[in-house]
Amino acid sequence: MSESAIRSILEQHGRLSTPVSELDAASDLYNAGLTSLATVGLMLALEDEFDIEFPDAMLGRQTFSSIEAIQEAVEELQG
Amino acid sequence: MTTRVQDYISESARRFPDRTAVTCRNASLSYQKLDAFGNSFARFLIRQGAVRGRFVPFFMPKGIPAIQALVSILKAGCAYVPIDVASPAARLESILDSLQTDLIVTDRASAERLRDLLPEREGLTVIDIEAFNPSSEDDGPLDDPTLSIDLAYVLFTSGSTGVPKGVMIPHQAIIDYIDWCVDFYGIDERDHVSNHAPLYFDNSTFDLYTAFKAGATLHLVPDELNSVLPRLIRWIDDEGITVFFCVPSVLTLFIRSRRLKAGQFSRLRHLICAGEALPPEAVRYMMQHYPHIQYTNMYGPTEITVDCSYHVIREVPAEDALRIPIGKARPNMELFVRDDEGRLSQQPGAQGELLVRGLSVSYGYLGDAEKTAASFIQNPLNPLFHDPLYCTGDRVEIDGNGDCHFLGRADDQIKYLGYRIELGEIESRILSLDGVEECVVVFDDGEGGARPPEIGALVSLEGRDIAGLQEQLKAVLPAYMIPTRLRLHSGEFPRTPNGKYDRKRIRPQVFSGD
Repeated sequence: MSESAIRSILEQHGRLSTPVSELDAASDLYNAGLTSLATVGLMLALEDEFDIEFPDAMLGRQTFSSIEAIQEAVEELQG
Repeated sequence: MTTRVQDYISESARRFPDRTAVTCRNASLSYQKLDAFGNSFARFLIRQGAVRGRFVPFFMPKGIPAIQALVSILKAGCAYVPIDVASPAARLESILDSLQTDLIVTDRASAERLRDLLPEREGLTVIDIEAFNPSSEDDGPLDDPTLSIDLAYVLFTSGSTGVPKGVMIPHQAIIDYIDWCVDFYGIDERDHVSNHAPLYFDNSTFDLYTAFKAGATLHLVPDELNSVLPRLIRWIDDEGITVFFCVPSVLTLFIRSRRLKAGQFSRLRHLICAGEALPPEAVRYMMQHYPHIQYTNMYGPTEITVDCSYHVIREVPAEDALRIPIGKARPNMELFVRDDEGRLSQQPGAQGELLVRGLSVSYGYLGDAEKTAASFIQNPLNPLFHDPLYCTGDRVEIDGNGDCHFLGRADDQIKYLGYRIELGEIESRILSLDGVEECVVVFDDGEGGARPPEIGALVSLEGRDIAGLQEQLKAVLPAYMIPTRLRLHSGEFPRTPNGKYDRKRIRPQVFSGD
């Protein structure tokens, strides 16, 4: 699973105020303008794209806090 | 007879001393303990200089200490002022200035944040509620001379000149609203009422005081559940919530999240929405899947104390339904429509700005007689005595059943994530930054749910870039007011023939494409 797939989902669903291309893998997405509203859209798009389902325990701010955090979560769920 | 909102707590402490008044995460507090803490901390506040009739802000995240703070401030005879801990320094400063207060209540962590935000501010006594030892003060009832016409809280909304407006709400306005709500929804000591709205947003008034009056348990939604909302679905069942009041976008997110399952919300009796337009398709989905719940749409700006009208949704909305009515006035409140010729009407078919009179109309804006006079006008139908009408700036239409329907904002004030925001305030904040030459803020309402609503701005800059501006905005605007789309523009901004910015042409320029 590539970082670029996550970046492309972020571009479509993250509704960030900073361009995704200007973010590095560790940048804080909430600082870049990620809202609770957009988090839900992002979560759904990730579930569709990678055929996963985030369990409640992973639905925390931490899971969506950066590109690398998302990547880790997706990899964990894909097993 | 209850005349002050703090009496709700002392009365419930007398009737149900051991019942849980408030719970958050794994902590909870009984009515007896909440009342006793309020008495002792109120005494402490008075010794620290809280003077009857003055304003005492509290600055801390939602939690039991915040509830203890507001109860204590009321018992000290003062009006409380909840301030968002995420407020940027400029907003915080302007609120403190307009309150002319020298006292602020915080918790330990927020006290530090406050010092970081306002390192230079002098003459402000910061009281850390967590450092207070309740056994240091008498916890018996205070001699409390507060009248029902005294102020209970001041809530700050967004103002068009960049200065937030403080809406002043007296005890009697809350009591009139709450007594009706508890009666109408049949809330009693067996209920579990959630509190989702932030305390600085007046929807929370419903949650707090219906619970406190009924002797029910108030369940505070912890902040961490709000950053990823689907977790709230399970929380409602885990906590056994019976009354859930939220802004409609929460409902929409529940449905979109794919986390709703059959058999959920088994204990929920009432789902009440207010704060923005309620999408009929969201109601249809919920009513089809959870028919045991009673769904109510309520409406009202902060200036009339939470809600002045209500509509119980008895039938599943039709697939082609455009709107859910905001309904009819609750008792002691009256609605008028002012048409484009300035006539007041209550007849079916009338269309225009909604004006509201009644017992729960606020006293206006703190320290701002001019803005108060502009929005709170003398009722022309009763010219011989003081009878204020609040002009909501919302456009409505009255249907054949006498129900009002919300049509939209009369001006550029918008509703976004449940917040009322003046685009002009965002503009003036952006324009106040160095290197910003011109700025027009526009709003995309998402065409009734087709896509999420968004705030955008067209700016022209001199000697700086967009990324730096973005960073700086966080220091002057709360997160929900920061435009999610910033577009750079050079040259003339589109204008109408009479010289005003042409927002109709600017909007697609900001929101189309990337």
